[in-house]
Amino acid sequence: MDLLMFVILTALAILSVLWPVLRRSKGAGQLDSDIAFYEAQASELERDLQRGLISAADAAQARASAARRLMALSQQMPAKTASDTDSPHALTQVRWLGLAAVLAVPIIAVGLYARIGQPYFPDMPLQARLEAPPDRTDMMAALAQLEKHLADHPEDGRGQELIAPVYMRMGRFADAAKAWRAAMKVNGPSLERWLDLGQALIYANNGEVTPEARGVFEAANLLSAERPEPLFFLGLAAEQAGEFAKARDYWTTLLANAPPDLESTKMVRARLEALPSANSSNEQDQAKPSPSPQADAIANLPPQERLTAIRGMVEGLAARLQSNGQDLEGWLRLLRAYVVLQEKDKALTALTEAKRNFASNSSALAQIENLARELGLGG
Amino acid sequence: MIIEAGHYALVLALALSIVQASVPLYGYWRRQPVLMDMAQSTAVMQFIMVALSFAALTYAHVVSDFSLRNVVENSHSTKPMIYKISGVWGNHEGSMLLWVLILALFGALLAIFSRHMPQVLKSLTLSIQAWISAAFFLFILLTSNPFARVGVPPMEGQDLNPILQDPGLAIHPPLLYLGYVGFSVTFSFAAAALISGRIDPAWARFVRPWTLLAWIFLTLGIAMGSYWAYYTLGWGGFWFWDPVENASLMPWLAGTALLHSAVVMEKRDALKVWTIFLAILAFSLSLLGTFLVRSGVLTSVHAFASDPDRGVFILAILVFFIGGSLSLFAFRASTLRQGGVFAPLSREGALVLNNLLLTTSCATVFVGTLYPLFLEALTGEKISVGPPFFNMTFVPIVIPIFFLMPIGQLLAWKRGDLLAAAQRMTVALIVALLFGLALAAWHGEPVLAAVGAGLAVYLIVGSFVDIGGRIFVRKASTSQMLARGLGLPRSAWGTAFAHAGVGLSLLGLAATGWGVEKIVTLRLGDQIDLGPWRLELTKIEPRPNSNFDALVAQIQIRDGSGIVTQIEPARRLFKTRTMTTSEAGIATLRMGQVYVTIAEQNADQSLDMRLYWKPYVSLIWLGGLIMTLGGGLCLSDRRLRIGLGRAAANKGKQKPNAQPHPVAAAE
Repeated sequence: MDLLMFVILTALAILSVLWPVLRRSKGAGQLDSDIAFYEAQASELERDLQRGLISAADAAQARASAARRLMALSQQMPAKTASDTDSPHALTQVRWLGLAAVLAVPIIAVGLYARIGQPYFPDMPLQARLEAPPDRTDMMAALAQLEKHLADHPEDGRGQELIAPVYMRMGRFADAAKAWRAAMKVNGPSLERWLDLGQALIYANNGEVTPEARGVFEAANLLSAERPEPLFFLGLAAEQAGEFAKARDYWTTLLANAPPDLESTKMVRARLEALPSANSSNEQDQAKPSPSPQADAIANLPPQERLTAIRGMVEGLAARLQSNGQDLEGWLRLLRAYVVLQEKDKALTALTEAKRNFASNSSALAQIENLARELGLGG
Repeated sequence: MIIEAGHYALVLALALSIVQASVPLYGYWRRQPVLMDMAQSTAVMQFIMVALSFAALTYAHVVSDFSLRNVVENSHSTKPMIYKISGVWGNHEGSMLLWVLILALFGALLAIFSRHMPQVLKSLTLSIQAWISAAFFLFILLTSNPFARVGVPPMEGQDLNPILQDPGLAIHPPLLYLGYVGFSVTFSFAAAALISGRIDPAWARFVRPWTLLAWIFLTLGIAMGSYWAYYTLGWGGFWFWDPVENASLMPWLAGTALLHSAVVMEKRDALKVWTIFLAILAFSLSLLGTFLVRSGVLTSVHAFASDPDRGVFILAILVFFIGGSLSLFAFRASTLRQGGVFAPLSREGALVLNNLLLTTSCATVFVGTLYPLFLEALTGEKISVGPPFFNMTFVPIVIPIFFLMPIGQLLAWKRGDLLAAAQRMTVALIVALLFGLALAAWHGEPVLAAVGAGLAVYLIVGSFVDIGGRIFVRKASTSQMLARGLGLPRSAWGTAFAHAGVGLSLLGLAATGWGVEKIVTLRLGDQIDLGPWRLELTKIEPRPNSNFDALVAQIQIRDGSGIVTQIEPARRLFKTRTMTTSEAGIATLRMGQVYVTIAEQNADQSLDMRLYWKPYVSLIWLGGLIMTLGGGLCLSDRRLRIGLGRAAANKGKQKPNAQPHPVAAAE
């Protein structure tokens, strides 16, 4: 349907090339035209003579010189004989050339247009773009409208959840993460939201599982210990951090619950097997023994209680740090936990506290500030 | 779909022009009428395709389709409709599309309306025409495609350059292009004549309407452009010797010479080499004009399109067509049969002198325009060749033309009598002298203005001496004279009017010497005298508009007896481009103009202004219109022209019948 216009145009162009072949017209021959011209001149002279614009003698002289010129021309250019143009050889030649010309038009046109044109690019008149219903309007216009709306109404959680996947598809991952976070602030945390946010963060950082993303997946993992995504990304984070034993634990857990013949399951298995062996890594010994009994207990609770339990743990940690501020690991964990729990105010307070405690320890201070930056707690 | 279809139509037009450029030429070589005929049908279809393409682009501009880069860069949804349309050709890509549209239009007209033209001449001419259009199609599609799309269309455009948002832009470039491109037809005719070796009065008859048409449009275009610059740029000047203006003046000078030369060809079968040369020259200069404006080698108010890649492409086109045609000319000119002979003192002789003077003046403009460019390209040194150069070189060459114009009209073909012609001019001379003296007494200094005005009046009166002589015969009654006047060929009237138009323009130019200019600061209610008028600033008010905000001053103009009229000079701030333009307030009074421009409002509410009183200034453009009218009269005269050696006028001598006719002699 769309291409009909192109076909019609091409057909018209070809027709114009074919036209003389179809019509076999007789154009005005050179000599005919010359005779016509000089005849016209003669009658012009006659009219002028009658109007009294020129004298009879002048007219006679002009007529004579015109006649002389015509005579000279007719001698100079003998009329073409008919056989010249109608010989079978000539006709074949005409046919072939006609055919070549007819073919040349679409070949040149389509060849060039294929390089420079975009036949399926529709017209986009402004009025239509503004009036079109949202699902049919062009993406950019809809996006512009929605962005403007959300800038004025950041509390519109549905809008935020609508725009986030669009950002993801457009490759604007940081914006997507921001939108997921905003959505979570309004609609409250949920497993799916944690997962979406975590993936957006990873994409935004070119595949690196940042501490922030790691925290997000830890939260998701706490909400559902069976979901494969958090396990996979946590394993990935551990692998990237060189904590291969941890990675092995996560992925082993994942494989234990996942259907074995899925493509993604096979991929995880391959990765697991590619992990450096346990004893080649020194770090894993220093790393904490994987999931503490306490954590295991929490993971087995129903979701609502689990959150409460996590909160309780975090509160406990905070209280402990209040009394003993010199636990750097503890502070870092607390900061991460607050961010995961979307409690930015508490996170900021904790950040100030932590910095105060390590004011004299520059390396610890640097670690705290690094983490704060990664967690987006304004440095 | 409309836009991509328009894009495709343009590509098809290129394909058709390639067929049109090659097949008929081959057909001519092999003497195959069918192949030659292809030139006509493809020329018509080529025009239809370009027209569709142009319509599609116009549609995109009108509906603000920002998926086209061209629309994004040059339009804005709030722009008034007329500028949405004129904005189509108010930019590089669109104006080139307009160029080829006109080119294709002329090709189609040539194909349709020349049934009596010999097939060889017609198909060769159309074939050459297609070479030109193919080159420009390629240029457009490869370097300046108006149909380039934007993947992610923005919701708003960047607006058209405010200077170009003016009714003048809607008219000026199309007129100029009609002129430029019109000369492509005469160029194609000349090339066809060189290829076929046939050039004679019949050829000149076929070329005549095209030359006239091109000349008329170019004249109108230049006049329009000059008026546009006059009221848009706000300096009260109408001709700046700007390279872009010169670029249109050069083909006009060459085209004017061509026009006269072609008449000699048609009537007397003479000046063949001149005519062919001028036809090539006129179009070459038109191409150069396009090059100067479009390549970006110039930085001036007109040169709004700039891109070096395009420049190189246009340069290649320039070299190909000018070089090619001149080579063809050099190769074939010697084979042109020389036609009618004439004495040096004759109409033909006068027109040869006319050709010489016009081409020389054209050469001075050429040097003045291009020398600075070459110098800058070679040494990097920037010099400015301004009015002083042209006043010292161009003016001394055109003054003799003004003097000789009326006299040349009175010389007989073949062999003329200068003394008799001069005697018949005495009337004109006396009138001019009296008029010049009267003006000098009335307006006073400068003397040069009075002398110029005298020359102008001599020219106006002299233009009608020939016609007067043919109408007023002794002892004829009024009705007889009227009949004689009506019986005169319209081309005779056309000639007289066109020449008188030159005189009118000259009068307007000369009168600028009596102008008054004042730079003042006025407050509300202040009055000031300007020439014979008294001006009062009566109102200052802001006036918002759809795409600009204006500050408007209202000024009343009075003479001794009361308020004559009022004008509203303004400054406009265009929001999208944050550019300010000045709108002059102009009132035409007694053929002169009061011209006022305003600056920003000062802190104390006063306004800085420039005030001008320009007596008779409107005659400059009125003259241009009259010239065009003359051209139109000549164009409407479809009759053939036959030159008569005025043997009867000098009965004492024997007609040179004894001599063999030159054509016969050449046999």
